[in-house]
Amino acid sequence: MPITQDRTLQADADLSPTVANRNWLVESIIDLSTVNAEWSRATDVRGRPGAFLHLRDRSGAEAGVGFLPEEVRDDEAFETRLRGLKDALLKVAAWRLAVERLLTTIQPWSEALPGNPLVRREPVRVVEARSGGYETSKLVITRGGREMRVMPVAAWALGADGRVDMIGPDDTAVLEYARATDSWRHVPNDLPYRELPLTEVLFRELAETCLGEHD
Amino acid sequence: MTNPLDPIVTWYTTAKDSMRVTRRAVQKATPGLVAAKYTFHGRDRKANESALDQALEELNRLVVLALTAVFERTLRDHLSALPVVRPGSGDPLADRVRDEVLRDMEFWNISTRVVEVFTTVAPALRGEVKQVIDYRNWVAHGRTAVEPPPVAMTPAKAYQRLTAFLTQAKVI
Repeated sequence: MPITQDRTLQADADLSPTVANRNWLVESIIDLSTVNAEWSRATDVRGRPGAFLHLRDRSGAEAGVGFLPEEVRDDEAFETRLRGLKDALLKVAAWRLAVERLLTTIQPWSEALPGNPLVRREPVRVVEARSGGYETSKLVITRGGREMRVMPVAAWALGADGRVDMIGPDDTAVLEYARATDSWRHVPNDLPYRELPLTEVLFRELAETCLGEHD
Repeated sequence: MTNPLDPIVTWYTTAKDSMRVTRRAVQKATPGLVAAKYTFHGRDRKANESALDQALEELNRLVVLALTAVFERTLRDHLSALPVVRPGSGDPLADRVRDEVLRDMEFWNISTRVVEVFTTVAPALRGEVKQVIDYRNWVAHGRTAVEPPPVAMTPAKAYQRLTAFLTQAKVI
């Protein structure tokens, strides 16, 4: 597994060798031959300097995590964070595939909506607390001057294995992914609480609600 | 005991529906409908829709915060009412110990101690409730502008999970 340091970290005479000395541990814990790893210099939200480890696999999945110098030196803390990072990378990789499959399924449904909507797929960058940023895709549906985005929100969602929102000018609908059944459901944000399997008919209803009337 | 989370859902629904009605009003742009004293007056539709989107996002976060605060208070009150230490025994030492125990309980960490004493609640549900608490902390500690949320959440889902916990724990 190639592990590199960018120029910002190479220029740090203290941190660069500290990080380089831990690469064997990164390699042994991440243990994925298809992954490239890069260290860079970073600061946390409080402005404290540290190092950021970014992983990217061949499919394009990414995950990253920041370390303070003391966290790099602490064996137990370092290992725990690395294991979390590996889990995050694998989760993001699976999530990106699930999103691609969803968009492939609903693109023809979107094109079949009344009013001849224009449907296009666009790249989007999602940032999550557990993984950092990663690239995925969204669907943009335009009809009569109104636009709805089918937007990946998060791989980490309460009680689900990911969430995509249908965001239109009139409303937003939440779709959740269940990895165990490889299925999608709509979970309305009102009560009584319910989970409705995503079908083409339901998707059309939701799209009409979110897009609203023609201009 | 009725669900103490229900009043929050009632005002949330009112606020959310008010925003939907407002959205319809600014989209229709009927002359005279939005008076000059309102923030929506004189702005273009996109700006008003964007402002409403932002307000709804903040409302959704604050509702989860409110739900979690009432949930936490309900659990703490339930624990302090348990007859673990008999109240008003007349023995000054026993009464003082009881007072101290109750005072200490107020400082029990909600995730690591309070939630965990309810062992009759399914472990998976306890874990999900801790995620709701993490989300509450993200909002309450003012981190929304600088960090993404620890987990994606909707108020309906938070309500459902917190209510399920209170039910399984036989608090309501």
